Amino acid sequence: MSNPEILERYIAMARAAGTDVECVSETELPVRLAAALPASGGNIAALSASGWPRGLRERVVARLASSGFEVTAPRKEEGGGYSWDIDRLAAAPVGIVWCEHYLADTGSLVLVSGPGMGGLATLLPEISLVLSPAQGCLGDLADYLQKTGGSPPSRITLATGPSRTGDIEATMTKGVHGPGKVVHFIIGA
Amino acid sequence: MNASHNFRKTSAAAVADEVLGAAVGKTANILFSLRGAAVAGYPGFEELRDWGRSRKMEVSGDLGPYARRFADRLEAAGGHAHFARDGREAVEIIKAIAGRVGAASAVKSKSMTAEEISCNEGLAHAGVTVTETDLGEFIIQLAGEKPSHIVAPAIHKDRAQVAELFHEALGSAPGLDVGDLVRVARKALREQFLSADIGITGANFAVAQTGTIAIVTNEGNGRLTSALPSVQIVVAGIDKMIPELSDLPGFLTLLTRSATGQVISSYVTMITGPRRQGEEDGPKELHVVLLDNGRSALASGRFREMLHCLHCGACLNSCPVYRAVGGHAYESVYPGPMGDVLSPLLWGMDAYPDLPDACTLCGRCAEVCPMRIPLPEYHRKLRVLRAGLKGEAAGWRAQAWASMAENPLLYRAGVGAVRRVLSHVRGLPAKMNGGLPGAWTLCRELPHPQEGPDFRSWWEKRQKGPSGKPE
Repeated sequence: MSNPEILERYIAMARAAGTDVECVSETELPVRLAAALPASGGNIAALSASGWPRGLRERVVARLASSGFEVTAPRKEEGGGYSWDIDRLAAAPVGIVWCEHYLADTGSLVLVSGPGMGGLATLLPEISLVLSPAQGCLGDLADYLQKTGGSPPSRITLATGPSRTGDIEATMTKGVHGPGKVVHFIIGA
Repeated sequence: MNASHNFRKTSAAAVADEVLGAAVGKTANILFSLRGAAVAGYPGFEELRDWGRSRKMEVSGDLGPYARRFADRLEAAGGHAHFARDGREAVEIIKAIAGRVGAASAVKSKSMTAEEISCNEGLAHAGVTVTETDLGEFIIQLAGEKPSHIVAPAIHKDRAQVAELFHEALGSAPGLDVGDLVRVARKALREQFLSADIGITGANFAVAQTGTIAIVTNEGNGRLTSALPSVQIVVAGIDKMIPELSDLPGFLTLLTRSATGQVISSYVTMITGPRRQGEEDGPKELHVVLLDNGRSALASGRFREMLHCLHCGACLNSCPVYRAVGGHAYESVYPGPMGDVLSPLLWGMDAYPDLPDACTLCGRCAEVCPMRIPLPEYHRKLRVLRAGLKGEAAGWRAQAWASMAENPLLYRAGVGAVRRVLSHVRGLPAKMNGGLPGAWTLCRELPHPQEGPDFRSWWEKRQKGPSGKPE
């Protein structure tokens, strides 16, 4: 499949799983991002520290500031480690991360661990905003695993739609432990 | 485990409980339908089942080496592998880790294997409080009960019961609806996640090639349990092995479509070792307890394919017996068709003498099993095995039936005779009281043969018809 075809399939599958998908240009992004910020629940936004394309993180931070949001991010420690201020992270109603790859077949985001990158910003806040490049769409998990060449990162999470449960009378309910709302911005589509 | 469980007795009590029957029947039916739609929507699912079975045959034929390879790769990735021969050993290992790090509290993401070894009870003895974080498990933990389904543990409770439970245990307002109940649980459990010393999870798959553990959840509790606490302990049966990372996509498809009818669950987390240099979350210590508990003995026997079970629960949802009685009547961690077979094999026929009878041999479980485990055949084999253990020969009625069924002429004469008798007793009611007729018509009706020729005579006449064509 060509890139536009798999992208189209991704969008259909992700929407079916409950993800809000927005295709945006790089210039539109700040405005669209600001529109997705929560109106209540506090003004802290959790941002992953690294993995962003050059310059984008700074632009996102500037936009958040003009919308009245403070940013919390993992702090670099001596010795090269990163750690969150857990109290501030837990108080953040929204988390924003960059995600390089996502899978058409299942409508999944591929969230990977790495220095300054982890799972918490897409997990603890009620709203998860995820930014990706249009060319990052892959066919399926097999395609992604092939890229890892048999030595996977310590954590790979396929996140598909919001957190949900059917544990009470098989009634699907969103936002159990993770986000109840996931917005995926695909840049340059 | 108790000395001997009595399914006949517990199932009779369960059938009498109408709330239970309605709740289990409703959810099992929803899951069964979702699975049907998800499988129909995936061309090639049947071939995928064959593929999955053949991959698991490779593993179950070589269980020890696969488990050791997994352990080597896990250690190379910085994790710790522990082999446990039985549940007691596994619990001792977990207690020792908890003791060494001075843990007081643990959060746990649903694991039937941890349930199998009574992990929570063991840790409680060591002074560690374990909080279940899967919503269904949390509900039954509050209620002081056991899971009644391997995927939907609180399947036996309806929303009104959960609302009352939360009202009493957590002080929430009475009569909340499902959405509000979920929010109450989110708030209560979030505090536990943020403060727990240890995270305990199961494993849906363990990849021998890379030492990777895969955990599948919808709620995100598996992710939180393996991200926040500084120590993670994974409890995995050695049967959870799959050969390579590239096998994972196929097995995930088989699992999630069979379990909940989802294309994929909300979160699939693949964990290869503990937190690495510079990473912001994940445990600093990762331990995987590889539990045997009778599994390697199964590998060399005639029930080997039980080791292929993905614990998807599709057989439970399809089973007329499970749907009628729910999970608790089985008095085992593993209920339903897979449990009927696994419980006597893992804990002995003496402990579960009548579970092989908790089956009508209808065959629906084998139809839906993603791994094509011959569950009805295994039930039958267990009955034969039990008869052998007790030194029983088949009764005279069964012997008479067998000789008749093996002889077509005799069979036809017998059926004809029964038909003639039944035609003459047309006045009898469909339901009768007392004795053998009463027992026989308790859950079926006395058949009244139709007027006119029987099917065989009609068929033969039709085949010989003047045109030779269907009428």
